[in-house]
Amino acid sequence: MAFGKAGLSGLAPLSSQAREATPFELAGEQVDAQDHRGVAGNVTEFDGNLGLVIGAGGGSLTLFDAVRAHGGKPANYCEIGGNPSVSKACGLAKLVLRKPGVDKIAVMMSIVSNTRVDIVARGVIKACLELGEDPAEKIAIFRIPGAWEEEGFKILERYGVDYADRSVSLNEAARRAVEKIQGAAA
Amino acid sequence: MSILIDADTTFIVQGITGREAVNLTRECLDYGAGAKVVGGVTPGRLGREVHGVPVFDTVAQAVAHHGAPIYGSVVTVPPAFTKDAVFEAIENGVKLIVIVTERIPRRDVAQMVELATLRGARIIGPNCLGIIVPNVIKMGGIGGPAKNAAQAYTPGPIGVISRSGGMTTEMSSTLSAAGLGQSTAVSIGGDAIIGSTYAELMPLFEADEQTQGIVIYTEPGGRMEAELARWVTENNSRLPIVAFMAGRFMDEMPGMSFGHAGTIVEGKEDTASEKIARLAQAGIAVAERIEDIPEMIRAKMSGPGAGSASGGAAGVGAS
Repeated sequence: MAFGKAGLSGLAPLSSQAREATPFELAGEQVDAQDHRGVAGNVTEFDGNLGLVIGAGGGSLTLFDAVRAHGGKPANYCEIGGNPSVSKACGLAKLVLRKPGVDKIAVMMSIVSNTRVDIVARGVIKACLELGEDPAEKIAIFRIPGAWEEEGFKILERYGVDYADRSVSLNEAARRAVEKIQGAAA
Repeated sequence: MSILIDADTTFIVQGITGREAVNLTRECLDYGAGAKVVGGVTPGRLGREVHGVPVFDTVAQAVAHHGAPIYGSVVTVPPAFTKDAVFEAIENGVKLIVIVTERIPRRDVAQMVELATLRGARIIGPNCLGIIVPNVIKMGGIGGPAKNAAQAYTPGPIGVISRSGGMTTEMSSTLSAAGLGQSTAVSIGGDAIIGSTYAELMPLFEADEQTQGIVIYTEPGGRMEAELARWVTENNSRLPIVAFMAGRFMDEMPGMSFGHAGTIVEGKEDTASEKIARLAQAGIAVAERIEDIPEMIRAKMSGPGAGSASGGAAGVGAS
């Protein structure tokens, strides 16, 4: 796996010191602070075109690595987990979708047991609709298996969003997302 | 068999009336043979019940009601009160404490671990989801509701140790799908200081006949992987180990924390690349993708190094 620095140029800190939070990251903190339920935040800004709505702690690390390993350029890092509300998931997805240069978002998590699949699905679809976008177009892939997945997958199907269950690995989901965004950009 | 807990393990839930604790209690009661949750503690709530589990003001009351020592406790109280709760459990004879709470001050954690060591108790966590013995018992929120946990975890020969709660389930699910069940899976917590590290759990797996191989999830930050590498080298372990390292991108971003509180690159030893090298030197294969883990551990379990020292078996299946 090649980890060139190209993918992390620009806003990513390459010095030995952590940098100041960007306005985008501060907006992420506001989304997370809007209610106490769960986490939808820990946003770090990068300069790519693939928006990430990912979780949880370990899953986010794994997915960010996987996106880069497949040549993808993440627009951000973030973490959702602990069963955030629909409005929090929506707020985070909206923030990422609105970021200049973001063509699509990938919504991916390791198997969830506390966070509900249907709530995240509702949140990200709501974000697309409120921005006047087609969820099927904007969501490159939705890969969150686990609690309430049947309900979640039903909602995704209704809006034509490409989704994957646990038989699709985190790595494979990341690969599909990168492939789609590269196809769209070409 | 299993490590740490079995079907007969009794435990209490401290902070049982909290929203997450109520759910967790339900999950543990429903899973496998049904956990023996013999009481809950929330000061001021004596006399209540949570899913039929009696609630007490203190751990001492719970022990008195049970009429015998209580082996374990799942601690879900807010960060500021966790130290007191854990001290109370230890002083009342509890031997195994799973701390779910996140964001406990490091100094408090150090003191809890110190007292546990003095009293012969063991802490798992903080900032963890607990322990699961597939189809038998779970202690903590690991795997979620019984039905979800049953989907991901199956009984078998692999011991799983993970710094990420969610990834404990993701990796176990991948192993299960490949026909490799788990003997016990332990979510050890994502904080910088935790009660039980990989190296501290290895002797337990080593002594467990059911366990034939170990799969671990690791991240940048801390010295835990170096400690594991040393343990494996010094103890001539019979168990082959495959590790998965997440957060490789963080090597380019020193000083920034991602994922978990303990996941930060503060020095060269903290980096993913350094850790991978150290693990490999000890004969621990490091997977680049989770889907590669089943074949890698299977090759190691049946390979020439199987059943003896794992040193020298580095790189098996590292495709």
